[in-house]
Amino acid sequence: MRQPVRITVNGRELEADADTRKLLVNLLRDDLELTGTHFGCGTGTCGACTVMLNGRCVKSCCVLAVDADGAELLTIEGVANDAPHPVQQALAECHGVQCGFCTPGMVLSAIELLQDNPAPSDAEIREALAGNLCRCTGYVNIVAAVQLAATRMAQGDA
Amino acid sequence: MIAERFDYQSPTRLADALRLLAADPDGTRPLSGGMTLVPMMTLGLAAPEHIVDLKRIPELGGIHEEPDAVRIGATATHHDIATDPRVRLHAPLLADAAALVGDVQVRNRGTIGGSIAHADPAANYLPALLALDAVIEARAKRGGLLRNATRSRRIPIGEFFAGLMATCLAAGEIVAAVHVPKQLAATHQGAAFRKFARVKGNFPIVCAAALVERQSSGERAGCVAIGGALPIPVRIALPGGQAAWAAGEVETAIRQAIDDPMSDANASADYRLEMAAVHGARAVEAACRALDDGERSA
Ligand SMILES: Cc1cc2nc3c(=O)[nH]c(=O)nc-3n(C[C@H](O)[C@H](O)[C@H](O)COP(=O)(O)OP(=O)(O)OC[C@H]3O[C@@H](n4cnc5c(N)ncnc54)[C@H](O)[C@@H]3O)c2cc1C
Ligand code: FES
Ligand code: FES
Repeated sequence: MRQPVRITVNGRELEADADTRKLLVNLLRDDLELTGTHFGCGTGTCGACTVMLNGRCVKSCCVLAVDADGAELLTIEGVANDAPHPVQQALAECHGVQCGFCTPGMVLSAIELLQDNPAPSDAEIREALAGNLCRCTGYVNIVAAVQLAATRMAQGDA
Repeated sequence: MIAERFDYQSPTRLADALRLLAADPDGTRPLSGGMTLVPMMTLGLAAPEHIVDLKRIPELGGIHEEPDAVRIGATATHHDIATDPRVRLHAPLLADAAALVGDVQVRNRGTIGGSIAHADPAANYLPALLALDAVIEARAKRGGLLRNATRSRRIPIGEFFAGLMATCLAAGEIVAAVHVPKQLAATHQGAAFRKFARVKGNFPIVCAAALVERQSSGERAGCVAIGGALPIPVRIALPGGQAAWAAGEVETAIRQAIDDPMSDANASADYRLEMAAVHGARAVEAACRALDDGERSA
């Protein structure tokens, strides 16, 4: 069964005709070709599919595409302007990215955290990123990168 | 992608949702946060023919203060509950339980109604609601010819769970809200929630909620509720007439109440019982400490 879905993705208004069985992550990757949102476990545990829905991070494998009707989405493709987002820049500098599979979710989770809490402790960063599994980095450099991004964003020089 | 076909409706009126649910109660599932139901459908563990989304129905959302209780709408998310100032003030035990559900993304989406209806015995809310004597407000379409007639009933939390992942809700009936009686002031009551999971953000193996209060005699009374040990959460009264409880005493009371602990790939029955006793005792200790602090500040 198909139903129309009207969503705003990274500021762009889009209309799609979605099968009810389609997950939001499928709509983004397969129909809209926004493949920066990754598909990992498909069942809500890994965080690779994290996107922002109406300003808050969600796992897009747990959202029916038709349920996103009317929503405003931010995916990893929408976070950078001309230059990388400070969180992206810091992840690169701190070597917080290895294979990159978890990175889009980590970036969006970090952005949500820094919106609410511009000067988080390491423990708060770990808590905020707990829904995102990384098989490569051991997390230490990711936490350092979020700290660096927080400092730069607070100074306004990023 | 989900394999089996289904249709999806997202009504904005409660009566419409209840009518849709009543039309084919066995083939229809309500959808809230989807954090449990959508993965189950993806994995083929659930294959409803009709989905009725409850999230766009105003009566089922929101958090409201009543004279003696806080009414939490079924579609309030874990994040809403963890951050709401009225819940923090009047039901801090519930706010603590909400703040420890899963991870940020799960809390942004998952709802209290979905968690209670799913009735996983280890879910954070269950022991907290049991310790607090919460009341579930359930709604269903009323029988007969009136299209929009609905019925409402209130079910004490202690009577709500019918067995492993089973509730007393009838087919087509939903959780509409949870009424949580206000806790006493910190000078008279201490509460604490403990969750034990393998990894941060994982579903708990066991969790515990303790509530202790000072009686006019100066002695203390209290309870500890445990989730994850038995098919339904249990509430255990602490031995009365005392000013404090030793950890061993609480552990013994918990072991006596949990006669036949569950066993699965996460935890054997013995380990589960041990963790229930240890974390239950720690919750009681923390609740007593909170009450000590409250009394000192009085
Ligand atoms: C990675 C991960 C970690 C988690 N960790 C925890 C944890 O630590 N502690 C914890 O307690 N939970 C945890 N959960 C579960 C989470 O809390 C879910 O949000 C919750 O169990 C289900 O709520 P939902 O709103 O997502 O329900 P849904 O998935 O939408 O629905 C769940 C079930 O309830 C039914 N239903 C939904 N709403 C209603 C209603 N109002 N009335 C009647 N029936 C209804 C549905 O038909 C379905 O059968 C975790 C989940 C994930 C994915
Ligand atoms: S793919 Fe969505 S959480 Fe793993
Ligand atoms: S960088 Fe490889 S999973 Fe995180």
